[in-house]
Amino acid sequence: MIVNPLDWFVLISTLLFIVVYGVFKSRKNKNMEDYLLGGKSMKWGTIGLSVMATQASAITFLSTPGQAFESGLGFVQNYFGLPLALIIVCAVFIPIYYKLKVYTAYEFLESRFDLKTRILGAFLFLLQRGLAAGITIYAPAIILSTMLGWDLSLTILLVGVLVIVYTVSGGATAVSLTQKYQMTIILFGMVLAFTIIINYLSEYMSFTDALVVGGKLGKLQAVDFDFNFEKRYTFWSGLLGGCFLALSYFGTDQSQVARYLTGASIGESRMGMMFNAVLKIPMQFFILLTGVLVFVFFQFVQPPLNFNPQAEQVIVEKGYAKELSEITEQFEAVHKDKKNQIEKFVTAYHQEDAQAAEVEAKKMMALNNETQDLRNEAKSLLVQADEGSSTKDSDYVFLTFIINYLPTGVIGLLLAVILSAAMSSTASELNALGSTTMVDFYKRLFENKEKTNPTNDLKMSRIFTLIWGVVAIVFAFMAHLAENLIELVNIIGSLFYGTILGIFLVAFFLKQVKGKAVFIAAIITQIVIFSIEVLVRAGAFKLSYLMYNVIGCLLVMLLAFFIQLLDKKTVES
Amino acid sequence: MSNNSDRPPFFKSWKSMYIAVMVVFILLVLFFHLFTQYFS
Repeated sequence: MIVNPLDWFVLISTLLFIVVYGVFKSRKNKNMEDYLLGGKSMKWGTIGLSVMATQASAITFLSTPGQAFESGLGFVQNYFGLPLALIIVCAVFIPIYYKLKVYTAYEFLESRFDLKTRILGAFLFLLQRGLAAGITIYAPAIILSTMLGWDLSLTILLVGVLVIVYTVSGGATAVSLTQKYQMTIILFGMVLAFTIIINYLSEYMSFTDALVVGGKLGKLQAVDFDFNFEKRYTFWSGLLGGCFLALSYFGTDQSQVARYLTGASIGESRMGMMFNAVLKIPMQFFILLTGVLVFVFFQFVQPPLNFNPQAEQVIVEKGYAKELSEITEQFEAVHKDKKNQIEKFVTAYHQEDAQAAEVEAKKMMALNNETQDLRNEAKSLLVQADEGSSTKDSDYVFLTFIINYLPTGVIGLLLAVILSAAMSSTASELNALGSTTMVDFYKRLFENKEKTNPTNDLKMSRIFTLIWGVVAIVFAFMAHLAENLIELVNIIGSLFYGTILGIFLVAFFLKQVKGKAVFIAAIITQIVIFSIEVLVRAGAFKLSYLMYNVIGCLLVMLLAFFIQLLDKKTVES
Repeated sequence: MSNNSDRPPFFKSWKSMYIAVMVVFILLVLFFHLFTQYFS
């Protein structure tokens, strides 16, 4: 697809403004503290937006509306543990980090335990965040290249190189200041998209009617109090698993810790976190609701059978064109019937005839199931044509809407939103990976302390950030499309977060446990978590990946406690 | 463990701020629940 010159202008000027602004405002870095902690000068508004922009990657804006299109608002429950987790971070973690004047979270582990525990924590972080940084770049690149015909390698390089330019030159200051503007552009773009969808829908029905239709078709169940832990998203798994995930992410992941350590004071850091505790859930709800409205929009406008344009191409190329054409014909006919049925339902709903509305709703739901069955049939055909093809097309839903139905200029702005989001989270990741390598490995293990000087530290910090930028680009080139991109990032995080959080909670709350016990406990736990993931993937049993955070954390704490007890008894005997 | 010398804006202490944040969260869940009930 050829993007209009006006869209190109909006896209390029927005991205260039961010890069130039970031480089210009952070040109005065003199030493490692300026570079890694932004000279500790940030106000809470900047910290709050920076923390939000770090978490909200391009995947958030591509996958989340698609997830609502597919399965409704339930994903919002994933964030229910976040407010409590942020309160714990403010009350327990931040005061300790400030007191010890650390650059990275893992420095604290050495002062509490020993060097090997600090190195283990830093290593687990580098491993999972290094992988995630590659996906953060790859995820939007693969979708943009598929939808717009851009070259995948060039898109990966565009995002990667732009981020490297201002992150390597400006460090934490550039990251935080650019994130403030990136997040402003992102929020403005999303509100604009939401308003335009409502405007489009007004041709067919009011906003409330759209919600009623979405609700009847099963897209508005935001809360599910079911105690079944096999279900991926429930209130309880969100509150418990989400709390552990958020506690680990905000309390021990250097890409977030580095954001609030740039605060001018402990109060500024805490306020930045409280800003997120209040606004993060409504923001996610708003993005999901946008996805539901896109779903309702596609009840009136004929959607493609599969939102990934490559799916149809593969099916036709492999000689299944006739079968595809038959399914498409049926799909279009059922879609027309469904559209008429929705209009009948809305009329009955307006006449306040509950019984008639219920009858019409049932017919509408049956037709919706029929379209879903046909979509699934097309997916089976895709697998028949090419076993390796991914059938999941929800990541392409929102972008299909953007490029086909939004006005010129707004398309450029929304593409800038997606790329800004990719750049903002990648920038935080590179900054954190660089600072952890510099502080926890290079300065701690390899640097000759007598020869240390601020100029060399600054130079080495930049070199490590650059190296991680290159590594992230290489990982992005090697990544393969997973079932759902946002989930892949969360699953990778959940594999390691429980263990890391467990180490930190032992440090804070189990004062009698020493370094040796927590180190052994962490290694055993990591092996157990990997084994559980293998068994779940092999189909031995079902378990929400959010629960890995809970299991990992509690297992480290329990094992560390008993190993310490055992060790003490051995010494005594 | 909150540091009272560093007071938050609008509130007397960080503890009151944390309580307010949790109240906002509970109200949000209540809103989502009613939303779900009404539209489903």
